[in-house]
Amino acid sequence: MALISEQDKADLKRRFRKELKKDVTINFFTTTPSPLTLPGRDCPTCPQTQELLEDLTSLSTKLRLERYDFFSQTKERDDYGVERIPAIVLEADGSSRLKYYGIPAGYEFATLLEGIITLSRSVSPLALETRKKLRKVNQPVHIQVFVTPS
Amino acid sequence: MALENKLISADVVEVQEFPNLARLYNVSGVPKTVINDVVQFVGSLPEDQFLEKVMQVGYREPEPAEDGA
Repeated sequence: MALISEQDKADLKRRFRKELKKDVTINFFTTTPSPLTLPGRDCPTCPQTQELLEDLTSLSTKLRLERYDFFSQTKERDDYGVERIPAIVLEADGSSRLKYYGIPAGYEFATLLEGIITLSRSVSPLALETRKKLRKVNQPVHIQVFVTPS
Repeated sequence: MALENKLISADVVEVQEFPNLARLYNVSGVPKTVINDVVQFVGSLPEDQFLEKVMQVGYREPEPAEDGA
């Protein structure tokens, strides 16, 4: 089942060609389903998310997909600070502080695209004043935004 | 905002897949934003108000230097 329509793929290809500057790595944390999946280790939306990301990253040479198993690749999991799956950690220029948990469907897909493009362009949508104030932050700040696909 | 300062990280979480999180953070309306588990709000905020919340949690006045005795 194509998750991204052919028309959308063409539009995205065009958009990426126009807007992407730096390479972005999409680090995808998932697990491989097996007949003996233990309870608590299943991830029903992981296969679809993987397919979606494979489709997405095929649309630009500046996008790269790296796949990690959440349960066996614990070093990478801890390095990126991933707490649950499916998880997408966007990385550019060695910076990887944007994460998306859950299948990026509907509204979350748009925010994922925004994240990719913003990271790639290093141009912030924020006002200059805001950016200046944020430089003063001196405590860890963890922002979580909870959304639904509708 | 996460791009501006190394101390800031941001997660977007699709709660229908993680009902335990929806319960833990008492998510009924979306989007719901939670900062460091202490500040939270539902709906979107204008940029300057969002910034204020981030600064509430993320900025502490540096301790005044000890005067030499």
